[in-house]
Amino acid sequence: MPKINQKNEIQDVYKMLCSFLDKYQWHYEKEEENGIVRYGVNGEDLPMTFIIEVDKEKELLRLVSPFPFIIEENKRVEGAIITSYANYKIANGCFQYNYSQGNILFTMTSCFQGSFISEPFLYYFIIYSLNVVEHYNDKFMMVSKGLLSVEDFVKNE
Amino acid sequence: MIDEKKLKQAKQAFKTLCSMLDEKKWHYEKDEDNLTISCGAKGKDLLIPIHIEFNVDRYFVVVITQMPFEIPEERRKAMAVAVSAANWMLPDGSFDYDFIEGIILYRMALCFADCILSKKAFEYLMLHFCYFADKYNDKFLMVAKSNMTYDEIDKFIKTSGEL
Repeated sequence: MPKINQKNEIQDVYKMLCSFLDKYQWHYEKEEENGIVRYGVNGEDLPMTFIIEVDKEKELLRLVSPFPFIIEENKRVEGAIITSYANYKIANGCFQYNYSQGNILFTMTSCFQGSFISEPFLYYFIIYSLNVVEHYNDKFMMVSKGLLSVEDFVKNE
Repeated sequence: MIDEKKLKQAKQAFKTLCSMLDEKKWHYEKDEDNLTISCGAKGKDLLIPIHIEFNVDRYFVVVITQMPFEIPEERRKAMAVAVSAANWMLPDGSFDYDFIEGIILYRMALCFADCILSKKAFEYLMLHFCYFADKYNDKFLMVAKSNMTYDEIDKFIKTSGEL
């Protein structure tokens, strides 16, 4: 468990996040003035991009992973069904799907107001989101391209 | 076999949440053995039954409500568009849609792995949870009972509550 020091100092969560990524030798870009880090991961099928924002004012950690493709126009309703069903299957985070444009984001927000967070917390945040995006990105793409039906997508979940 | 360290942390987080609920004068039922809490909130239109569960093994607490209505079969595809539109507007949490059974859940979660979560963090969780569940539950019901087209639904949900 983390120790609260004598002065009860507020954690610098952004610094902690960067130290964590450094420790595991992740390559990332910093936008320190905005509290943002960006990193990419080559998945089995598709490249993945992640952006984490540390909102110091609201004490929130926000992760966004924009998908590198849009759902084809003739599959927009299918896109709504599979993304909202995928949300039904996951424990944390949200596939946010823009029906009118076909774009998908995976997002996850965690509040640390008045709290002390730890390395295992960051590990969970980063690794969990990576696993979820990796699991679904190719399946969403296959439905978009007509290679996988909604029924088969649902059946295999 | 339960990991004692995880269980201890879950129990601590559970205690903090209960303490916050007591301070804010929530009425709730708790199961300290299974680390679950049941309560409810009265929204603008619909009641919001709330179930809170601490997943010891995975180090997180999840808050869930199920919309108190089932989606008729002929409106299930349309509802997927409505749920997606609502999710697109959310800063936190997720509307989860079981297309097969016609069930909508709203879910928010918080990880407590090796953390000291404050009452403030749980207050944020419950406040935002109730706000967004209440904001969209009646909209979903309206979509279920209507014959709005997909485009109309998308626009209706995305502009709901906007000035």
